[in-house]
Amino acid sequence: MIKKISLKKRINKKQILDFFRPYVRAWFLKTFKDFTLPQQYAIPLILKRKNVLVTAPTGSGKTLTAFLVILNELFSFAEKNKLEDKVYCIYISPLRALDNDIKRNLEIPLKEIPKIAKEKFGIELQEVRIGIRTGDTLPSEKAKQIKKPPHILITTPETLAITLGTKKFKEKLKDVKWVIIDEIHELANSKRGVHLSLSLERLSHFCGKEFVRIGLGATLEPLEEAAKFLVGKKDKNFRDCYIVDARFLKPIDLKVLVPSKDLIFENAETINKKLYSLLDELIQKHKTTLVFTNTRSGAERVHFHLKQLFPSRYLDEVTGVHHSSISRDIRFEVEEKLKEGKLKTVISSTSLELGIDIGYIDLVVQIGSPKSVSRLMQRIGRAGHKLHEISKGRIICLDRDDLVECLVMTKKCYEYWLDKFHMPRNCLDVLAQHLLGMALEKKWSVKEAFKVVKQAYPFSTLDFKSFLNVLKYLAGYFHTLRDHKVYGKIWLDEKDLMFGRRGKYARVIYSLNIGTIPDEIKIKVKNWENGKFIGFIEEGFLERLTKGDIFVLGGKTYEFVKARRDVAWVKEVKEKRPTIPSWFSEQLPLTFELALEVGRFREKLMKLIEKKSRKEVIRFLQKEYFANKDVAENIYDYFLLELEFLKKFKIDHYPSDKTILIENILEQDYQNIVFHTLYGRRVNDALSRAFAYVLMKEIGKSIGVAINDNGFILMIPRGRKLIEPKELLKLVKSKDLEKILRKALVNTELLKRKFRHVATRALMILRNYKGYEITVERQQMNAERLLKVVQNFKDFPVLEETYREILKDFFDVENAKKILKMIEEGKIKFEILPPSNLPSPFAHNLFVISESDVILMEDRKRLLLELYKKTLEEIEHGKV
Amino acid sequence: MEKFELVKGVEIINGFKAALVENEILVISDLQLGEELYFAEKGIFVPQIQLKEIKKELREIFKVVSISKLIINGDFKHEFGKASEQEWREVKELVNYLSKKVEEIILVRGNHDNYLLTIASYLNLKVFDPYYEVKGFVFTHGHKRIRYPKNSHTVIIGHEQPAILLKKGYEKMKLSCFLCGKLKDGKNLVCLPAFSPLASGTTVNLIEREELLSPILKEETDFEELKVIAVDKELGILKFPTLKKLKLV
Repeated sequence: MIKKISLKKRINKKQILDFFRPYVRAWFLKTFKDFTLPQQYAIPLILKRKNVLVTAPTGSGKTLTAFLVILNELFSFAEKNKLEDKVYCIYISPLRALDNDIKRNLEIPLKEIPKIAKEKFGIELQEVRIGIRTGDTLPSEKAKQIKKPPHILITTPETLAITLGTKKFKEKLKDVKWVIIDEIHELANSKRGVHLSLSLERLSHFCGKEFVRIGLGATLEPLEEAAKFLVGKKDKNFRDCYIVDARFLKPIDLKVLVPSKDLIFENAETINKKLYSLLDELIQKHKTTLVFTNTRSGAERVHFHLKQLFPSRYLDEVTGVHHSSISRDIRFEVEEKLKEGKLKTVISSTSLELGIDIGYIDLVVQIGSPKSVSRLMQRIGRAGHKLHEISKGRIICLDRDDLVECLVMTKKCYEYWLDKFHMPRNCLDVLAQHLLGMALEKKWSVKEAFKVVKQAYPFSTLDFKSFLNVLKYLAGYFHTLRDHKVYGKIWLDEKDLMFGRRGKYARVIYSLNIGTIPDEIKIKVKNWENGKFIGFIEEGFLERLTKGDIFVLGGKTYEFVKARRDVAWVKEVKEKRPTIPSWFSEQLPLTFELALEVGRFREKLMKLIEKKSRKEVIRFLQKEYFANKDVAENIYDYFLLELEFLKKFKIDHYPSDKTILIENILEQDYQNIVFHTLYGRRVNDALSRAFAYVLMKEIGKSIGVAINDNGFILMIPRGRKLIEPKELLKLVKSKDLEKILRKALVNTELLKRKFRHVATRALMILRNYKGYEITVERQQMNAERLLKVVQNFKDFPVLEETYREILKDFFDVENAKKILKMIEEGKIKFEILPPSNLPSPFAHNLFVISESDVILMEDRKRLLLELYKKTLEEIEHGKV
Repeated sequence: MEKFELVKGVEIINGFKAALVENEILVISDLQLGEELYFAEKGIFVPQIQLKEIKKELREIFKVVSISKLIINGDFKHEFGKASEQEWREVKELVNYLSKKVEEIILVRGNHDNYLLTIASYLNLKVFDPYYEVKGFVFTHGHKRIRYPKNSHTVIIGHEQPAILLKKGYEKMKLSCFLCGKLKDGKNLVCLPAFSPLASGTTVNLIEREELLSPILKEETDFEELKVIAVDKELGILKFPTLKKLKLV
């Protein structure tokens, strides 16, 4: 049973205090004025040993909610001298920095409470120990923990999983009473969280009894799903869980800003200059400003320009950058300075989103659209640390589509609306890691293990065949008929349905290779002509580059010259089409729900512009959407341009969530069909590739695709006849979508890249084996060669997982199907513009800023013949 | 059956990665058996498919030609530690298969064949190092320069595992290829592609002379003047002009 607690009923503070031991009560009253709202409702539940999900903004005392009860219980044991040498509570957070914070914060009551007990009440308390165990923990420290285990263990999802594979320390967890998962919003939507969910079920199975699960989070939706993720199933039903929802406690002050009165016609350089003046003005008006960008390189850029334009104001002493590519020491230094209030501003990508202590921030600035209301709330929630202080946020937009998006987002924030998170399901690579871990524990019956796995919510719908296939894969069945000793990490007895560990390396493989974050080695890119550093590309991308390839990096095009060790040498080139698709983006996708809202807004505003005066529309935007005058005018002008464009073609249904505008733009060599599908990139990725694939089949030519959140383009090499968009639309049916996409993915860069990640997660390519890091061999046996080999096997779990991850997690195939279904049912309509050489204003960004890939001609023989002929022709007639 | 003469007396058939010498000897190179086990030892678990694929291609070859002598021109087996029973199994299995098809199997020692002698005597095979010669055709692996026997007129090597990359826009394809032409001393030269289906190979149209692996190609040929003959299972033989011209495309 999952139950939401009503926060209306006032709870008697005294009543709660009565639950606590006198010295704990005394400490609380000395330190705090009162219980916060989440504390009032969650503490009584935790006291009653109920599973609880608490969602509330930073500064609401969430963490203490859980720990207050646990400390109280531990001290009552201590009072009776009954505290044993074992772990009572495990606290898990996704960040080591957060782990350190928690430990530091808990050390205060751990010191002060025994002092109060002794001085005020004459009670001598046994020591309550707290300890951190993460990837940073030294072996000597770990050894100490085996002898004297911490009563409260602070750890990360990965280290918990590794701990479950140890012989000795695992025993100390046997009686664990509470498990706390912090920042659950950061985990429930990723493979890291899926990984954790299985660790919890393994732990529960190992303990042989239930422990209390406490989930802590900030902004996420739907809460019921998050609660299910937290508690998992027992037998057929979900374990009970109570939800204390205090997400919207903090008042917000949120506005969208534009650096220029005219984003359309003012040139980029001027806009950029004005951006930094605006940013500087905001920073100077506040005490400490936290600036968020969407990418790591963006954070670096903002930092660089602030320093360059205002050298006296942004000295290193008062300015910092913080993102995950920056070394730990520097990050730590920035965090410390923030806490001490020494910094004027910090620029971050995502790393400061989470709840680590950063002291007092009075303004959060977001540059560009954060693509999700939940993320926006999470970010601006970092301002105004105290619970009832206003969170002040400003979004600066540099681009018209971003501006529209952010305006809608702001409105939604004030309406307490959040987009939904997506939890990956049945991830076979994560399962493979855990099955190896389980095999280390003991000899398992396959059925028993299947039952344990299915208790975790992300695996509750797993089918037995896939499960067994993962076991077969781990046992080496797919790899060989005979050499199981080399390939098998486990043994599997198919007749008796049992499995267990094989070989002396299994434990080492497990402990050194666990985790879900793909570790791409970064390759430096340098200019061949002057040796200047340009940026980074991933190892997997380098794999794909051959001499002469053209690719895009940081908005410029480069020709690949050669690679030497960890440097890729390039030449800058201009006006050449890239030969390698630029799908390697750090950009976050716009959520589906929000995309629909933006679609609705488009239609609404178009209609309004048609009927009302400029003044009236601008007033409407100011009143209803909290826009300032510059923002409102920018949006009005942008929409007016599109409207006038459409009027020329006598279009009367405006692009919206229910009307897809299609443009047909002719270039000399290409016909570009533009689909204004405002459904977010995850849906557009799926739709565009499906259409490109069926069209490729029809005409036998490779088709390029360009995708962004607002739509996609099919780039079709021109033949004798033009493609009729109307005919094209009939080619993809919702029921065939997944089938088509699987075929469309076969030769793509995307498949190769994801396969590489999945193969590493599934322990097919180890990162570390027999004590050394594997790099050279990884380069020799690259993803493409491996993929070629495994494509010969049916149901190979590593490949199956790659497809699943792309279709379900990277794309949003479910919502894409929904859209196609609505098209089939006539609920979504089309407006097709006649052929033209001019794209409409709404399509401009698609031509300029988008990601591309290509659906290659599938007929290998024909493609090869064509390449052969072209090469010979060029030799004969061309340059030679 | 499609046939093409690379140099006098050396022909290729269909899209096979093998050459026929004087219509009676079949020569292949760089099989690298056991490479999967090598990778597995290093922590990359590639399924074992090489032997299966190699046998499949050989079966197809034997369907269209009948020969009495087979030469394996080096790197029969991928190098790895000690030659354990299990590691040699694939070698034995292939030799068993081949002995049923041909009368004589000649092994030329390559740079990876450290333990070859032990197993060769066990399997009753003849191993030649550094070359094998018949009727003026010299078969040597190509990883080091050698002194050619008198009266030899044609040198056949492997080692480099040549391949070419064809591309146009986003489209790209890599094909195994033969290289053929002249040595600086006037002898004919053929460089065989790797027979292994796992081989990735040197992309000869993208590299410079200094990057070549084989000192024979690097030092004894005018590399750019070599001709490229690509092979493909589906399309058969694809003839290209010299590397010099190809590299300009």
